[in-house]
Amino acid sequence: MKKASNEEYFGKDLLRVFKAIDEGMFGYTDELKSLLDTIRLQNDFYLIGHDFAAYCEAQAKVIMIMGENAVTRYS
Amino acid sequence: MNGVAALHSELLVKDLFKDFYELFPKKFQNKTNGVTPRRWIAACNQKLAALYSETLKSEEWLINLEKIAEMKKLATDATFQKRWAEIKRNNKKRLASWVQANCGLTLNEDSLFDIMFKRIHEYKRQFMNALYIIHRYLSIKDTPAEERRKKWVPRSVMIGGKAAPGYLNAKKIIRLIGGIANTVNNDKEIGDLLKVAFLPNYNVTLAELIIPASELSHHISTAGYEASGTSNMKFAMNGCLLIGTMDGANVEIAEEVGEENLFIFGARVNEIDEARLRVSFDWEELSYNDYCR
Repeated sequence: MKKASNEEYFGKDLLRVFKAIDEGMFGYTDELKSLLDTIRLQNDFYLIGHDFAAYCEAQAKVIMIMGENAVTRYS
Repeated sequence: MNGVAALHSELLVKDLFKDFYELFPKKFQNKTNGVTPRRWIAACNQKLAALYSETLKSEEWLINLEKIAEMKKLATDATFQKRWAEIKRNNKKRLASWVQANCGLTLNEDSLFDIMFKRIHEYKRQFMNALYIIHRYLSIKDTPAEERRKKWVPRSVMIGGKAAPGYLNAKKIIRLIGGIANTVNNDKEIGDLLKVAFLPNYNVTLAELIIPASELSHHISTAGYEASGTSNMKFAMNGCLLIGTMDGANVEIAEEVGEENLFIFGARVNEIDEARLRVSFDWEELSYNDYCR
């Protein structure tokens, strides 16, 4: 067993994304499942699960800061 | 012996070549990789170069890039902003017509141009970007239709890069991006709120077209793995904001332009080992069946 469960390690947003891929929303189901398995069944060596929440937060900042500009910038 | 960014040089002497360093400390130094403003501003973004030269009344910035710091006081100047924005807008138009011709995809030129253009590799984490795009797609669909335009800024995501011939996982990452593009671009509900394009044939010539048109670019490698990275510099030089981890030359860019001008996130180098422990296997807990899966 892994020391942290997939639920606590990946978080609900990322697990929902996994589910969408598994259910075939983006096609190529077998191939993409095997890609996901490299992080959810193995060690997630490059720490995508660890950094994902922080990445989303940084993206939220992008939406906040660049969103305001995008409306007025080219007018 | 030299490392290619301050962080990389530090890792060489503390980790990879620790023993050599103890014997010959004077042999180790840092030479941070660099890019030339002649190619990456003057040649590929000629209008921006003209604006720099005109504003600074000199072309000295071509050989001494620190000169452009003098334009900092114009950051809030409405006329300068307008001229700068017009140049960016033209560059975006040029890229959009390339994407139209080569990917058959129409982009809204007023959308945010969100770009990740680098070799495909697990450590560079195009995979994480792809997973975020899906998260974003699902979140847009969660938002009631009438509130979507208020909450989300239209965004055109462009990812480009080559996978090494034998690197299966990298090829699967490209497959994932292709799959996302198929689904998202054909979803009538979403329209220009999210478009995804995989730009084929990653090379320098194409980079010269893409980088001047960029507004947000991703440099999101796992900390400790990107020795330097140089496209981060190219994007920054063309007025693109970076979202990235504290890795490679990102660290020095943050020092130079101020951390408040980048979107920095994620585990720092010294946190990686501990983070890995959370996902490592507890061997004593593993059953025979787990082990032989």
